[in-house]
Amino acid sequence: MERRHFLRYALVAALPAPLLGCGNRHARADRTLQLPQVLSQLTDEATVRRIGKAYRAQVPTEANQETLTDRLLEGSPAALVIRSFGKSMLGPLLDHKIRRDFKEGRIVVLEGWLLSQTEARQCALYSLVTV
Amino acid sequence: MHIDARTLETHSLIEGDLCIIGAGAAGISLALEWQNTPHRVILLEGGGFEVEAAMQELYRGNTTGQRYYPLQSSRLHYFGGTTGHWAGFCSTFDPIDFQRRDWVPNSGWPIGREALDPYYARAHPLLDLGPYEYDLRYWLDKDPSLTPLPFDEQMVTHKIWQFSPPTRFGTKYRDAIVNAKNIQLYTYANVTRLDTDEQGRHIRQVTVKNLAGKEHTVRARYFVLAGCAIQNARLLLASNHQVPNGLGNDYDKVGRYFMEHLEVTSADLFLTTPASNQLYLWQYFVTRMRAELAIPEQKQKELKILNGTVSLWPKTEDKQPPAMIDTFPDSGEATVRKWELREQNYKKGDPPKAALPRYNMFSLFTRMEQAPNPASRVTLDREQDALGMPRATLHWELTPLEKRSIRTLYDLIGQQAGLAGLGRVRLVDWLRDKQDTSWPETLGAGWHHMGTTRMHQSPKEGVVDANCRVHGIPNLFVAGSSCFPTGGAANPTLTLVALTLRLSDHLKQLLNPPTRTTA
Repeated sequence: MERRHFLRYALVAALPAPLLGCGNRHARADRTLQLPQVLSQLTDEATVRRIGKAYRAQVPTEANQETLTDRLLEGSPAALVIRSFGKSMLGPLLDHKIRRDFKEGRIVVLEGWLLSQTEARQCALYSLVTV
Repeated sequence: MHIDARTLETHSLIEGDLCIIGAGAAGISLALEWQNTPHRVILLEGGGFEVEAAMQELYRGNTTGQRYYPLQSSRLHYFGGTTGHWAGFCSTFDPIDFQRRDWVPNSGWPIGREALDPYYARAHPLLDLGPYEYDLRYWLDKDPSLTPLPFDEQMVTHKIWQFSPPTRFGTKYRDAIVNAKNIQLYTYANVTRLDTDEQGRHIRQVTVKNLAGKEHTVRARYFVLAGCAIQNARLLLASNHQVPNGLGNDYDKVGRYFMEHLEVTSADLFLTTPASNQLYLWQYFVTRMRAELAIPEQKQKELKILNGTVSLWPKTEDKQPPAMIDTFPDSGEATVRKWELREQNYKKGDPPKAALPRYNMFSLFTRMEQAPNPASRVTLDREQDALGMPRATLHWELTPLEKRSIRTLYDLIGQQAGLAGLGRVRLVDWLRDKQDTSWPETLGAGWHHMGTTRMHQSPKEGVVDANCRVHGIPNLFVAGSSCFPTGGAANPTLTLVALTLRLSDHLKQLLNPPTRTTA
């Protein structure tokens, strides 16, 4: 199995049950992945959904849960870390990714908000799973 | 000495060494420099000591292009000039503002910032400003409670502002001018034309009129136009009796390159942790210093943007404040009353609180340089005012560079806010689409009229030389922001006063040539 696919399947096993529509056992991990922490502090969930919808319109190739999950965890050994150290590591991993986006200029403007690409993808995922 | 020109017998002749046309910040600063000198100074003011509708009416004009404020209320036509509704904002121009920037067409001054430094320091007491210090570290050392936002200084830096009380020149300097033995202040003395010799190379006299129907003549060795950017250009263009294109206008430059500062709410900053951000705040009549966010020179060069700053205004609810341009009064008297009322309310109000409230939302307000643009210009209208002078028409025209610069400014601030974990920035509607070069009707400006008699070493490119002398007319000078080739990010008052003091030194050299000693 390719490493990339292995990681994705490992992650699916580790956390996305509610993403697939069942139970709330992994709700916290899901919410961490779907809802950008800083943005959700600053605005309401309806705005997060609007931003997510705008991102999906802007980047239609990513407009599905699988691709967005892939992209959100791309480049980080998230699943392995989560398996080894627990789901609480997901937040810091995403924070790190968001800061790296800002540092390296991966910034998108959605509904006027200047956001890291990672946050934009989180919003997009949120807009898909909370419709 | 003060003389009301309405009381003189008509066709009086007034004579002196130096004639200053206009008694605003530039004209009064210049006149004060000549107190107690052996020279006879004539200071001509079109209005009186109080703002009056009839005088403001003489400033009425047309505007075309980008929506602009009414001309009859954006400048004040009385002793003290527009300092009568000035908010007191002062800062120096940055070294980059004087440089030729290859991405800013028509940029570059024939003098550098170092030429103005000593005059900035001299201008400070005239404007009742604090120490001549514009370094953030100086102010942080002075008040350790002030905390700058944790931004990378290579990306987003700070520009320091100082605030005049604000000094109303008409009130503060009236006695000094009126009591100066060698200064003759004439009120209700509107200069309607400049007369030259037959070649149009020497000003012989100027004609003064008023609404009482009196007309006088003023003769002097040197003349200084110290109206404002619109009125200086208007007078040069209207003085077309001997030279059809007007004076100083051999190369069609008079009136061109009119510039403003684009002032507009452009974004919001949402903080994860509420803060007072006291370093950035301004309260009318209270604050004497604050910082604004700015882009360092190196970054401006790299990104090829104009100079601009961003101020922070606390918000308690998520809605946009009304646009300045929608709330600006049509009448000059109303603008003065508005400020007087603010001052009265401040004096009646509670003393400012020591501990400021904390906010998690701030409006981000832009002050952006306008690129010098020959199409942005003042011309003469067919309609004449009550004194028979053609009214001014202002065509205010912006370029895509200003908008790209504003957007880039916020891209950087948004990036820094995200990187620092401070919060997020949200742009206003009209700034969201990078490809859109249009401007909203609500775009404001700072009532900062600049350009129109720009400084350049070549008469083909500018109206005045590095000493503010009109090219080709050795005894005619211009004082004020109409000489600015570029407008920088800072409000013009401090710089125009500094430039006027420099002009004064130059005029003193002309009127007091060094005595030659013979061996």
